Amino acid sequence: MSELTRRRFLTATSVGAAAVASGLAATSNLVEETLQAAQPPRLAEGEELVAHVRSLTTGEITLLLGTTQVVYRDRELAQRLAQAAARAGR
Amino acid sequence: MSSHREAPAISKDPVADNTDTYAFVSPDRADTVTLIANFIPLEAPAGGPNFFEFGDDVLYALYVDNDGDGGPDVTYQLRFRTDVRNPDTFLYNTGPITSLDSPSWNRRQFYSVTRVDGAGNETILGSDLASPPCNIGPRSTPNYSALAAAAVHDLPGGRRVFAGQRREGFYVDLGSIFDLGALRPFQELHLIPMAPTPGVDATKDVNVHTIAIQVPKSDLTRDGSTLTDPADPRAVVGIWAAALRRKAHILGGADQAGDVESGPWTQVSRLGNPLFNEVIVPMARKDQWNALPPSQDGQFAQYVAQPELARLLPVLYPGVFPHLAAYTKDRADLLAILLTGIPSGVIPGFQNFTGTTQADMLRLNLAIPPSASPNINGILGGDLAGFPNGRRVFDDTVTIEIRAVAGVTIPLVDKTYTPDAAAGGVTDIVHNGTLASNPDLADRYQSGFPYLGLPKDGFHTPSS
Repeated sequence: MSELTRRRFLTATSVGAAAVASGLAATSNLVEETLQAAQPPRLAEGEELVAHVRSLTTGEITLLLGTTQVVYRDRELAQRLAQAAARAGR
Repeated sequence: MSSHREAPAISKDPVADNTDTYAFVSPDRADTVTLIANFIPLEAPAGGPNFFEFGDDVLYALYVDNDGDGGPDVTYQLRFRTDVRNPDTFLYNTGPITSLDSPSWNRRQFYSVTRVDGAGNETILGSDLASPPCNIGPRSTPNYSALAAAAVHDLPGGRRVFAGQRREGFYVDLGSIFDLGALRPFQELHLIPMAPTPGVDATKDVNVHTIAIQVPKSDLTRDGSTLTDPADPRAVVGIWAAALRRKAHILGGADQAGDVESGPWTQVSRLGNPLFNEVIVPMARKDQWNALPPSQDGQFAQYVAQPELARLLPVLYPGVFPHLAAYTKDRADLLAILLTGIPSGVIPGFQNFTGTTQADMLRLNLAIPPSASPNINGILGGDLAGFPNGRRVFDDTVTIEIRAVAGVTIPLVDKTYTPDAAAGGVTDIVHNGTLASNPDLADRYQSGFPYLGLPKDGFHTPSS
């Protein structure tokens, strides 16, 4: 996940990766990524990105890609995802 | 049971439920060790049309610790895939299955074996290895022994592997023990007494799914050596098995190709010593225990030091265990047997001590040769090649552990203690000491790899 970027995450979610809002427990050895703009990301064939919004307050989002897991913090993004989910639920 | 349905969460996930783990110096290839992990508890042989199989979405692992830290230094991982030949039939087989590539066998499983060293380096030992079918009956699997034999695969480096259905090797009077700790042969002494009767072997007609791998001893030791001195600390390795699932699984619904699995492999089942999670760890912590590595087991040592079962025995059998009832010290004997190994000087000619790290692992002293006349009571029966020196498929671990908890092993560490007279005789099913003298057990096992017997077939089991 060292090449994970904010752009990559947003692109991945926009092409249909699942956003999961509940149900997963965090582990103790997570690392927090500092995300910077980089090359436009791509997902490998058959690869999907799962985002688990753990807290709107802290903006903690657990990202699962392949067999890796990383915690990403972005309150604005977390709240935008929650708003999108709320709209979808109406 | 040993670890069948032993925790709330895993009891709902049978294909990942590690029911028994075994580790022993191979009796017919004494330069090798056989590691076995069983999954899928209590398979009814007639359980079709979708017969039992390994999980394609499960990572099965056998772990070896050779430096005493409760973490893996050698891992054997198995992953399965299922191949459906004919999607237009509901049948498992459309005719007799006469070979592992029989066209009439519709649903086959293949697997890979990967060895991972302590640095995380992976070596694929085999891929596209065939599992045998389940043993269905004389029409579908007319020569089952040939099918099973063909599913033993040689791997590089003198290793071999088998993954498929076998007969359950663990014997226990399940219905009695879980009916308020009753032991039928002694139940006239129970708090709710009944006339004594012979124990009932509740697992004699069920199957399991077995992963067995046989490797040179040098594959497991910290320096790649083959050790011959039982006193050498390097001769002892710790072994446990586990099943892991991906962190996230999103169901695709009717779009069957739409299922998503993602994230790290996450442990959902674990097993070292038989019965550890089942009768030592309290209900509220069993699922947590299943998710942890042995290196974290120090937090469960309190339940070993003051085991609930040792408090229950004097209550359930009033007046039978007065010495045990009065013993309030921490159980240093059980702490050693289950969490650190037995140090030198306790049992003449034997040690399986791995250090001070408390970790639930089978501990096998590789320098102890196989017994020519194995005693199913292992070390309690004077046979240093048996449990708790590793665990053989036929070891009577229920009896061994009941007797240990009842106090027979306390004098190993506390010479002031005299076991209750009953402690050395309690058992769920009365057996004689040697394997050869117990004909009811004989057909459950075979003398060569993978040592567990052929599975019962569904046509004949149950028989009426």
